[in-house]
Amino acid sequence: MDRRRFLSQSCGSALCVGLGVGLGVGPTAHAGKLPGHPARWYRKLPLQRVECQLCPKNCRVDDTERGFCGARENHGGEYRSLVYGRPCALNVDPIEKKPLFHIMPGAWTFSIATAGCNMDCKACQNWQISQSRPEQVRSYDMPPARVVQQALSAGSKIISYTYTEPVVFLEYVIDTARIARGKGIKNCMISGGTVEVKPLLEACQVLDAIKIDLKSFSEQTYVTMNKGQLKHILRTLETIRKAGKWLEIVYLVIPTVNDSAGEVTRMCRWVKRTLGLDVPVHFTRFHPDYQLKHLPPTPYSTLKRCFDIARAEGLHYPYVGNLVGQGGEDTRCPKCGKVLIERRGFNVRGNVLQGGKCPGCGLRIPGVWS
Amino acid sequence: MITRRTLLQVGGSLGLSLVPAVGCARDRKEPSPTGSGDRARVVIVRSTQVMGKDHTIDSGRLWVMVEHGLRRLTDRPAAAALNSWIRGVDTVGLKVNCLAGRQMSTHLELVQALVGIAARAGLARKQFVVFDRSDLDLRHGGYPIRLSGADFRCVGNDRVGYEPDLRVMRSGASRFSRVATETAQVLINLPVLKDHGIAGVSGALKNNFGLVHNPNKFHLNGCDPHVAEVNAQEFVRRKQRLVICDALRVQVEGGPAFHPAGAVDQGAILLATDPVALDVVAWDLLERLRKQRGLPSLERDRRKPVHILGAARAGLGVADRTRIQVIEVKV
Repeated sequence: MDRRRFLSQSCGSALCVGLGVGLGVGPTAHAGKLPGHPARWYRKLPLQRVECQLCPKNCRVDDTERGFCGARENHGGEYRSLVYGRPCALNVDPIEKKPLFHIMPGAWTFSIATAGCNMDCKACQNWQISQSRPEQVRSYDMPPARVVQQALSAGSKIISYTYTEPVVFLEYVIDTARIARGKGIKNCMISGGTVEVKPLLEACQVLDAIKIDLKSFSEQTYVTMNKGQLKHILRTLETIRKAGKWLEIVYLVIPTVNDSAGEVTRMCRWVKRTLGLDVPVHFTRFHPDYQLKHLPPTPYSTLKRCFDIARAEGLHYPYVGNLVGQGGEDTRCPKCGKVLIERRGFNVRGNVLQGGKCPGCGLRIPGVWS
Repeated sequence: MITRRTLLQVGGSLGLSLVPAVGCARDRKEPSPTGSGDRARVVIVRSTQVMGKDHTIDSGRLWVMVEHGLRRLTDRPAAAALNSWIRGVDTVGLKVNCLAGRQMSTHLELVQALVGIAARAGLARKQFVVFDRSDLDLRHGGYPIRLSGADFRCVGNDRVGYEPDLRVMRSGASRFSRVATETAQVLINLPVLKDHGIAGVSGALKNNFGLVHNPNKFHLNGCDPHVAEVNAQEFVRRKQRLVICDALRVQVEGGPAFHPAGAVDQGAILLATDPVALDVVAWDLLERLRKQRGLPSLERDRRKPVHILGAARAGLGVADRTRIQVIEVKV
């Protein structure tokens, strides 16, 4: 179901009530009361300044100003989320699009995003919303309960917080996920992983799976290409794993930026040593966009090399993504080699898992299968 | 979200051409926006009577201050100076700073004085467009949103919109205000002198963060080199002719928001064609005022305005104090 079809089907529902409400509404447009929603995870400083404790950037934000993400604003020492209940993107996607390959294969997921991001990746595919301020994009008025209602209406078994950076709307994620769990809906977060441990652990309590974009395995590259820090992402990966949440990793392979065999090998060895062999790693194809329009798309040969490195290092579930039909999309049993889930693009063409186990050798395949 | 239709409506009612008027400005022999390149002049005009005890502005006196300032800055009558920059141009963008609300925004009276002097020099009031980030900011700063009529117009970037395409800089990418890139052929920068919790000083260079759609991405490392990269945009260097910094009331601590305890009446305006030199002089003034109040220097407070020095390194103006001629005038 594409966005157009989803919206047209939702016309009779409450969804369209919110359509366009955010048009041109500035962050301080609500005369007489503070705009937005109370933010969590911050501390007050003198002179009505605040320090954000949501992500490790720890922005010190002056009164009337916003943090790096653009989604939170200081109003006289009260930090406010300007995006709570105001998604700017709604869609129903296959879960394979996230990509999350070990959670309910073939399931549809109701996907939402708000404006803003706490990174600035030069390869961002969604920069029009991630790098804009909330008032610069069309948004919907959709409190958590209505998100769940819409997911149910769309027949989605999963809600995904995705497209931009869910960390910047984490209060909204947690409140929505809590309601969704009560209705039997699973919750997945697709994140860049720049988040403090405390809010991450709170989110882990209501999430079923998290996919983290590991954008390189170099501190220098993170600084220059993403305005982030690798050490924070590695800490996030470890925290999720220790919290027992299902975790998958995407490594967007960008020619000349992060595609050297040495860097990929170091990354795979770190995953093996720190997270274990069962964490899926998706090597996905880069398409020129945003600030990297001068680079070519990733050749298949590079993706295949990354895949082979991961297999050689012993990782059980490496995948190739954003490239249909070239191989590397199927889930194979790491013990007997049997193809368990056959995929082509976002389509699941076959799934022979039986109760989460390989029918050939009986090995339990890790994931969230039902 | 700005549609093409909205942009055309606003542009049309403003009587503005959306075609970048590169030729208009290029062919004329104008003073360089950065003075002679290796030297700069900054004029500080003060009046003890321009501001009343209740912070009301004596508009007539402020008018005189602007006239004096322009004359001392250019060694020409104010009207002649403005004419040299503006004549033959369709639209002049006046970038004000209204982030901090009515108490600490570019005074409306300063805009009125500048436009009034220009009108007396034979220019049309409606040639001027006051702009800032949003209509709401402008309203909070005391400016009426005005899209048509004989007087100067006032409009927020959120109404007119930003360029659809990104301008990629070394440390980031932004979409720029269409008022600045398309509507106006000349820009006059009208900042407010304020302390800034991250940048140290908010003056001429920092005010141009109001030209981009994503200033929140540019506050790392004391805004350096982001401030320089925004101000180094070709259209900014070509179009920005004059800076008049509103220091009638200065926020010496707690900025960039307005905090009455940290606000000091100064009754001053600073004028320059070199934004870096103006910011250096404004920085010194801010430090003096902070010292008088027993506040630590910005450097000691770990807020040294490195973005000003970065702009100088980028060739945007003069930061060497021995090469800046400071002229103080009392009215």
